[in-house]
Amino acid sequence: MPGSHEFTIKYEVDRGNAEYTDAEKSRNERFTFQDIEKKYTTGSDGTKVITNDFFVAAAGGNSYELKAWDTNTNTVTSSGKIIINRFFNYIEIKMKGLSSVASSLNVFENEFKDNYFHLKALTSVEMEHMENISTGDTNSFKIKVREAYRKSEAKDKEPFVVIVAYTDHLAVKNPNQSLIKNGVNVGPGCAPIEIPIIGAGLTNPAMKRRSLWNNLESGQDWFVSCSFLPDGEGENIDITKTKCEAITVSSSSPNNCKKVKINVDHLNEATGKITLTVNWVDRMRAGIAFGGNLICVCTRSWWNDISEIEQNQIIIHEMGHKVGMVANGMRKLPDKVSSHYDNSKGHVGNHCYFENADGQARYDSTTDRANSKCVMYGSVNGRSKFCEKCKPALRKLDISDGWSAF
Amino acid sequence: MDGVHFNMKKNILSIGMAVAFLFFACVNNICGGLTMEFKPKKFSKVPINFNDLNVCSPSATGKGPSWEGIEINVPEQILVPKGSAKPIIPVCGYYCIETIKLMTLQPFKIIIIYHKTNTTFSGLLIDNDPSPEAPDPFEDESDEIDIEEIKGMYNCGYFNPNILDYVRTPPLQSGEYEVFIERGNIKSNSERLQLIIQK
Repeated sequence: MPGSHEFTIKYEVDRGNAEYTDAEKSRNERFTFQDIEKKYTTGSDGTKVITNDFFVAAAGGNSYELKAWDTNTNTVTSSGKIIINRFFNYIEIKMKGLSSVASSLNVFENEFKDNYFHLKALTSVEMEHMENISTGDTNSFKIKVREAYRKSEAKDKEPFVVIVAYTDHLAVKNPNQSLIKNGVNVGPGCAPIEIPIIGAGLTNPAMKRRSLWNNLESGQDWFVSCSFLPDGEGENIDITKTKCEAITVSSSSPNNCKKVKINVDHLNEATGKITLTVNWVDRMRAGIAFGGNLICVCTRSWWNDISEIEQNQIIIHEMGHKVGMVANGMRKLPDKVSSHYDNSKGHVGNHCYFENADGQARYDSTTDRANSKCVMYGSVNGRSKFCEKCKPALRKLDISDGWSAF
Repeated sequence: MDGVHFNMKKNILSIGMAVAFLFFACVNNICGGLTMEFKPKKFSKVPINFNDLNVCSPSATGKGPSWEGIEINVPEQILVPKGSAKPIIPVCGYYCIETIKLMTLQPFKIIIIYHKTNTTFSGLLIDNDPSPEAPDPFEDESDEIDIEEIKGMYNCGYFNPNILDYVRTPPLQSGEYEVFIERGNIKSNSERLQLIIQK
């Protein structure tokens, strides 16, 4: 009706909406919606356009209706609902020559859709192959990814695009590690000396058996050197690789060797020390969430192909990190998830120990992994889903800034 | 067995540091993209945070059959040009420790002391990698290490961290610092370095 009229308008929120705590609202202004009634007066033509006053919170799946009433208590409700979906694109960049790239990311897509994200797959592209990406190879890898990315349609979708790069192994080498055994007897008739490959990790100081750096990268070998030093005044005697046999843990995984047998019956009879220097595998990473909009997933690990479902699980985990999981109650994130753990209790970064006991000193043993039931546990555990502790925080996450190009 | 080793050569060199400064050689650090100057200049070639033998590593040869300890080398002097975000302080180390002891000892700890205020900073030498690990299919709880199989064994290796990647400090001031590394009760030689931050 023409003429100026006063009216009041407010959001009617759905009862199932995710609610933010006061602490969360104080950390991130996008965790609030317009929750107060606002009064306006129409122009002389009886209309009013409201531009910036009615904002919504970031939480996915939240829905809002607008309800307005005038001074005569005539009430109207919006014809539709505003339902919040958090959207991002993703592009797969596949290394040439990989034989086991996942042919479907349905598990990944469905898990994020179930948690109020909306995803769109862009046309995949290829990149140059690398046999392995260790910690020192990151820059070379990024250069190759960038080359492929620049030619793709994804560049135009920034900042709302994430790259899923498929790689070969993501093994980390611990080079030049020496193992010394004292008091060994060598000479004709002497039994071979067995040296277990045992040492501390680079990210975890626990001493455990390590696999030799065996057939992972062309031109790189597990063997560095071996020598025998007799007790007393004797000279150091080199022992060639041909006398050192890497012992495999199983015939089903012939490259995985955690022991070296050194034949010493060709040496003169003596007692002394053997020094074996090797390169070993510190760890094999399943995937990596780099800074910016890049994550990668390995298609091979421990010399075997990674299955499609495992690749999906790894992508869910890495994408989980990209969107802000596991929330630790810092910066613009939701409150800390009750099953959250970090570097001080095991794996590096923010992870979830769901279905392990609260209050453990660490959460990175093989038993902890077996007990864990969340895809955001710090090691691959066969899970594809966010747990019931993580889901509420996942729903609340704010991804409205997107991701900068890596 | 010795628990502590002092690098006498480096200590003697540090006494003559002021004189040597006149012949300071300027080189680019290849590790961080920063144009930093080290003395000796060979420290510019250290592959930072990569645990391998390099030109600045302490020598592993000539040590007795049962040598146990930690030995380190650090630059005598680091010149940080104006405008650099954060200095890189490489420490090149070599260690040999009885395997059985490593089962219970705390991780390597880097200690740095600012002489002017006698303030100590420290941090554990543990890499931060948030990437999830793919578990080794042939590792389980029954894979525990039998003490008998490691009797008489030693683990030896190199490390080359940038101290400031592992030790949290406030913005460093120019001055003299002392650096050493511990693993439980095993302590390295203690080295001094002069940090010059241009303003």
